[in-house]
Amino acid sequence: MDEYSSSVCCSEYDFTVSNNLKFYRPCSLDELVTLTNFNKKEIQVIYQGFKQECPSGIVNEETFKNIFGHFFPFGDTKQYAHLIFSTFDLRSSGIVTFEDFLIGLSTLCRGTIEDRLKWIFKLYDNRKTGRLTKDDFHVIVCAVHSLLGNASNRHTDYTITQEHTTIVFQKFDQKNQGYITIEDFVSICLQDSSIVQSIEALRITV
Amino acid sequence: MASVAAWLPFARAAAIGWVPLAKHPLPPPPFRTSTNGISPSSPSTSITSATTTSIGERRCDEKIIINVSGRRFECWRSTLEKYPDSLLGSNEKEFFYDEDTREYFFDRDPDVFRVILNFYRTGKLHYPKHECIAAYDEELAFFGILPDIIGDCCYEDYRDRKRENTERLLDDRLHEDEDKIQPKPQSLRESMWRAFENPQVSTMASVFYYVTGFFIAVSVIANVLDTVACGADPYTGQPKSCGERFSRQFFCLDTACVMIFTVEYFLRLYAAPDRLKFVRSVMSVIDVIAIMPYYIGLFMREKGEVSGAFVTLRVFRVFRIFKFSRHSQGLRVLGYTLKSCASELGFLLFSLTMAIIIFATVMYYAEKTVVNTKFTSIPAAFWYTIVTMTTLGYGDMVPKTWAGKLVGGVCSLSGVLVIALPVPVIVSNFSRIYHQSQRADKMKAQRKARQTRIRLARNATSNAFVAAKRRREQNLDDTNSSTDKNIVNPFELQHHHLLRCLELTTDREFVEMGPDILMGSGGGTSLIPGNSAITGLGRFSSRYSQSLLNPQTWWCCRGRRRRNTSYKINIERKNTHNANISGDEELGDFQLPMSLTPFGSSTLPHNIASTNEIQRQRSSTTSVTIPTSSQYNVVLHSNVHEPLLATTNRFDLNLPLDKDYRNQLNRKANSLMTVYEHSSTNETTQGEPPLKSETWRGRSPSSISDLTYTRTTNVPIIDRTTNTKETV
Repeated sequence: MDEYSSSVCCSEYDFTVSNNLKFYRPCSLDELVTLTNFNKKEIQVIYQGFKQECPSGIVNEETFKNIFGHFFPFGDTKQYAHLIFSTFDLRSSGIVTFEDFLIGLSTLCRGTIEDRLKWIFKLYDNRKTGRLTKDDFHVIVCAVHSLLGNASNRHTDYTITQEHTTIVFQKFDQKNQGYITIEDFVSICLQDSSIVQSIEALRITV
Repeated sequence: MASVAAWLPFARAAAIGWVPLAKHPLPPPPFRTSTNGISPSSPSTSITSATTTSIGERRCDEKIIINVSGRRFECWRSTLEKYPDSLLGSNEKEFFYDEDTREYFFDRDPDVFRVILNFYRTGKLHYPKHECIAAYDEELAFFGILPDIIGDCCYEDYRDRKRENTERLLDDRLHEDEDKIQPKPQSLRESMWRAFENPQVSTMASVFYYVTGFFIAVSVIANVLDTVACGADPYTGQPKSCGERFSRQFFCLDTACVMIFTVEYFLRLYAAPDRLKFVRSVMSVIDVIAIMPYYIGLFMREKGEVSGAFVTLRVFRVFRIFKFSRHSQGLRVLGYTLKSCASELGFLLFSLTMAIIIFATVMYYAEKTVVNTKFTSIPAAFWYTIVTMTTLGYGDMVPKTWAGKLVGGVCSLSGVLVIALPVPVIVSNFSRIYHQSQRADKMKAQRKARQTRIRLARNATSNAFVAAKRRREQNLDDTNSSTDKNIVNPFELQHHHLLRCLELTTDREFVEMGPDILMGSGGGTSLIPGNSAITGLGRFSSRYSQSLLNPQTWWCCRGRRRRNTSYKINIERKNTHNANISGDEELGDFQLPMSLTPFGSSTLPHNIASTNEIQRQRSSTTSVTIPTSSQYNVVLHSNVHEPLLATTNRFDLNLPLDKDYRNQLNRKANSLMTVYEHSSTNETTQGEPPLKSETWRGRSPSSISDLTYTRTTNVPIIDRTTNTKETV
């Protein structure tokens, strides 16, 4: 589980800087196969798609935002893309390399349910404090709502998101501590069958 | 877009973050996956196989086959490894290796790849002139090659084109920002300034523009006619000019024009955002010069006529003609050209002066000996030189000696040369600037059209999703439906599933939007807060609450419920429903042009007849738009409180009807109804029974095009809370 927080695989940072062009090359296919749960073919397919969109080999937050923009055409994808980006960015370096990307995808697609839940916890824990407070929830709720793209009325948005946040936070904060730790989070999610089912609903094929 | 489809798995994976927040369980995925991951043993086997093959491959130099979009290139491995810091030279190409055909496959442009492969072969990167600079750059970036290593033969061309392109893009972006930054003018001052600068903004501005233009013309013509001879003076017998004869009328006309110009000047001064800059600008100086003579004349008349100075001042009146440059694009371009060609003009002037002085001097000394010569001094000879150099040749001064004639000949020949030189430069400058300004205008118009198209396209995506959802509901309702799901695009299927998950997570729904609304506002799907589904329905009737827990049956339930109840309330509710529904707001009634074919309209009266009470209650607040053959264009939805209360009473509710609850119910009722309304009307719009086997793409664009082009009703749509105001 901690594999991605500490050891990042060897990668050749090919920083040939000229006119702000940096070409980054990931490490070899074989190593990636060991690091993730994908097989060679799948990694190839993912890389080809990745390379098409980001020929320089690294992704920045702007690209994430654009990618989400394709799928949620009317939404404001900035906040959500920021959260996803900082979760994928394992070293908090401001860029996401292909390895980071692949490792993240591997957790989400091929990981165990606990791994996924931990990933979700990391997603919510934007400030990396290890605990989730109501504000963290509010941030993510606002981000998800803004994906829908109803930028017209601020006031109603705020009440709706507050309502939603309260409901969700109460569901998770069963000990009424005011914060949620990762163990609590995982255990509560595991108990809730609808959550487990829903996670399965977002299964993907590569 | 292939790359977008490739990222859909990523978007779906990222969507996992919504799950704990979801208010409702998400629907199952639309496809079946056989495997859920690979066994842990396979990575090791694939590694070993990879290493053996890689070792095997590296033993000797072998030919590599690269398949770029069908065109096969072959080369030695060592050729590619010459540049290890590019894609083809490093291990990165292994990502593109196809085991089955044992070749590297790239889905890129084969023509540009040829150039890139030549780089590996010859060491020199060329830039093909027919290639678009942006496409070329993209290919280079993909293959990890820096453009700096383009060979000398092609580097200049590449750099020039690149610079041109970036300038143009920057220019476009600047204009785009300019267009965007202009929000609606806040104050009178700003709107006035905008009206002055762009006369096409409003009709008032155009009127003002044309009126001032007219008066400038009148004033100039008056100035001209002032001097025309108008019959003889009865006393002196001398011809009298019209100005003297009709001096009073001319004076009145002049006064009127100057008053208008003065008022215009002060209005502009008031409206200008930066008054100092405005006062210093060329147009303002011209304005001042145009009207000053009149006022000075007024004052001088009082002090007594000083006719010399007075007459001089009148000359300045002709400057009014320069005011036309605000009205004429060409004049402005000409002025700008002259300004930008200042150096060429300066050169012309300088060389001419030099030549004049030289030739005049020589001419003078040559003709000095002639008796009664016209060349009395060197400055007198200037006139001759100028006339000769410009090949005018008036003939008032002619050399008589042979030396003079020789010099005269040389003078005229050199005159032709000296003057002809800078002229083409000026002409080309003018043409470039003029075409640039033309292009800028064209680009502006195109940009507006393009943005509209972009908004329509985005709208199409959202509408496709809503249409898909509705069709799915219909499929489930219809027991003997034979949907052939395989025809539907799998990407669309997954994308719609993702959007559906988002809806369920946030408990809101996407709504179909018409294209016209996008013109006014900045776009944006309007959502219906509150209920989309289960919980709301549960409140409506406890009977159905159990069945609602299961998403599958929920579809059916909703359909059935609608059939029973929503019809009754639904039809009058042509109100548009805004996302900003809070308990206290009451939005206006929107009347939507509804499109119902005669087939559909037959059902309508029936339903209306069956709900007389509601109709009576509603008639005061709502007005029913009985369908004409207008097109369907449900856009936003509003909320009307009071009538709805009556309807909620109809639903057997065992609930406390306090205010919030009532409002919530209203919202939910609205959302249900409007959603159903779409489906009912949409069904009838198509005329023919909805083809279940059609794919999305076939459907939604046509409906949108219908929406765009065949609106016929004229109903005002007023929205107090959003900024969209539209009268069709």
